[in-house]
Amino acid sequence: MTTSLQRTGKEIAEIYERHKDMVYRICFAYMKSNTDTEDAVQDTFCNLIKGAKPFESYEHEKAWLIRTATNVCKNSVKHWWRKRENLEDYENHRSPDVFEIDETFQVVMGLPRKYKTVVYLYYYEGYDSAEIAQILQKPQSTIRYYLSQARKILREKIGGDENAQ
Amino acid sequence: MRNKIKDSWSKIKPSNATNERILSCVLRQAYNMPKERSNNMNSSMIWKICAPVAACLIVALIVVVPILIQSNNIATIQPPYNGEQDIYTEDEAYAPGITNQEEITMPTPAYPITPQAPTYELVINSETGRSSISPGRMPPGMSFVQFLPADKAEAVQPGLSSRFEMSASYMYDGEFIRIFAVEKYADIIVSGVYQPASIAISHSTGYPLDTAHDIEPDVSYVYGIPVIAGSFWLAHHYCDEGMQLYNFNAIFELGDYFYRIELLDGQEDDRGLHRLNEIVHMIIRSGPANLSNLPEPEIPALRHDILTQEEAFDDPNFGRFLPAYIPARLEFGDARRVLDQMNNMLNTNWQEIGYASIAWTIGTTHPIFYERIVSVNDREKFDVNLYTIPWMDSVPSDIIDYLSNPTFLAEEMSLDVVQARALYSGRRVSDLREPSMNFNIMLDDILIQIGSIGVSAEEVWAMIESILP
Repeated sequence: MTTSLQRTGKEIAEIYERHKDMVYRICFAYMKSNTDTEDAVQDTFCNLIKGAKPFESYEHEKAWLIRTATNVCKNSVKHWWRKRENLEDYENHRSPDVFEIDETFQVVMGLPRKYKTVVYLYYYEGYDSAEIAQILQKPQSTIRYYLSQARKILREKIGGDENAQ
Repeated sequence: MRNKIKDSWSKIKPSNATNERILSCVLRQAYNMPKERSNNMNSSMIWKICAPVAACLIVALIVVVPILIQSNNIATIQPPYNGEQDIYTEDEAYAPGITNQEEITMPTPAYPITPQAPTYELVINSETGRSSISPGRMPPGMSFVQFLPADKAEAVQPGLSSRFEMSASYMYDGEFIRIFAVEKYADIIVSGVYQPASIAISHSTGYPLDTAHDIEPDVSYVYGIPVIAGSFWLAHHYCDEGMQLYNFNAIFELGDYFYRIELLDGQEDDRGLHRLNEIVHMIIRSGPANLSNLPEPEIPALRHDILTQEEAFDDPNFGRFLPAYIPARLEFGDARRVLDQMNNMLNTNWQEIGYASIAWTIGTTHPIFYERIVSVNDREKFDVNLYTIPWMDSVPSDIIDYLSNPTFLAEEMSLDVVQARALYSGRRVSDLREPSMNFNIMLDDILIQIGSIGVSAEEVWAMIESILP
């Protein structure tokens, strides 16, 4: 197998260091299992290496990683062997006592998969719906719809003003 | 609410150990050194395996061989395979908890095995979870799967084909990755979920399959083969603390290959343990895989090419479905031709930077799009103007999937349909001036996915009209 390698190990490590938490959270939102999350994070950064994609800025780099991590997870959860294992349940497994899971996080993780990434990018990373739409390459109206649906669920289960910044 | 969510997310991050593990794997891949990881595994395994094996051999010489000589109840070991069938009593066989038969017929081993005590219960180590690649998982977009018919599967790994469906995974350059087998007829249902066992077989120097243990794991010996077996508890959803679901797994080296077996089960009646025990014994008894019997891989076409606009229009499969008319204000963005085992598509987009963009994806259809075909007579399923934002308050739940991403037959397309998809809503001024929209068009067996922001319905319709027969 020929591997394209245009970045040095040091550069890869720096990119990993810059975005490791964000990529891990996005993957965790999809995979839920710690071990599958690790696989997905690994695959995401491996794609970075193989693609050898040049980035115009750190923001560009970050956006690319968000989208790639999302696609890696989507591909992973729809993979044929996972379907055979009954994906919906298997992917919800995780090793116990690794993170402190509070009530809010349980509610967030209970959201439909397509909403979780959007919620993370909006509330945690601070992107607006237009930016999320651009990153995830979805219509902005879809992103807004996802957010509104997620807010409704969160408001019911967590309470508070959904518009609070 | 934002602060609550931020606080909760901030607790989710990889530990230092996890970071080191992931980064080392990534860097190894960067330097194309998959063997290093495997060698680490090997050296670890060697320490775990060699000492017990040596001790076992001594025990075998001193204790077991005399017993074998004296006893008529222990099977005579007759390597290599001579095609005959021996009869073993239940005590001599190896499937505790699986069978109540007085006698079961087992094939004579296909390779030399070490005589052991008549039963081989696996020692189950407590684990913290898998730290490596799950069986069947492969780097996305880099590999493909080839299913093995029963006769080929049997030739590759004897004894599995009647119970397991087998496939081989390869890199696109033809390099073998692993055999993956999944149980076909298991009726094991745990908490309403079908739970077949799965087996991964890989080169010892290929993809390692290891498991995290808090302490040095105990090794079981099955016909003299060292096996590390273990289990770890799986939380089934975060709130379902009462769920008792465990991952039972075992790894061992047989011949030139690493084997990993995984299954999910409860702990009631030790069923998971018994299933694992049975499969481990079945494989070891059947003998190592013979990958020289693998059929030549039929490598699917692979493309991930970035095309110019001209090259995109010249694509022999999909170029003719690109719009002949493109609004003058939109510039060509990029085009990507993707072809692999899962996808066959041409992705293109045009944009007016900062104001408008339209993504035009052409590909072979996926079954889900057939499920979302909407008749133009069912206006309530696709007309976004009939509903207020947010849709959650206004759209019936049985319609939401159609409304979110409908598929129209090409012959039913019209400006009216496109206008019905135009959504004028958003925070940006441009969202109110021009709509966003998304929908799919099925033209024979080709699916065209359209998503746009800031492009008028008339412009989108003109683009569509330019491709219609």
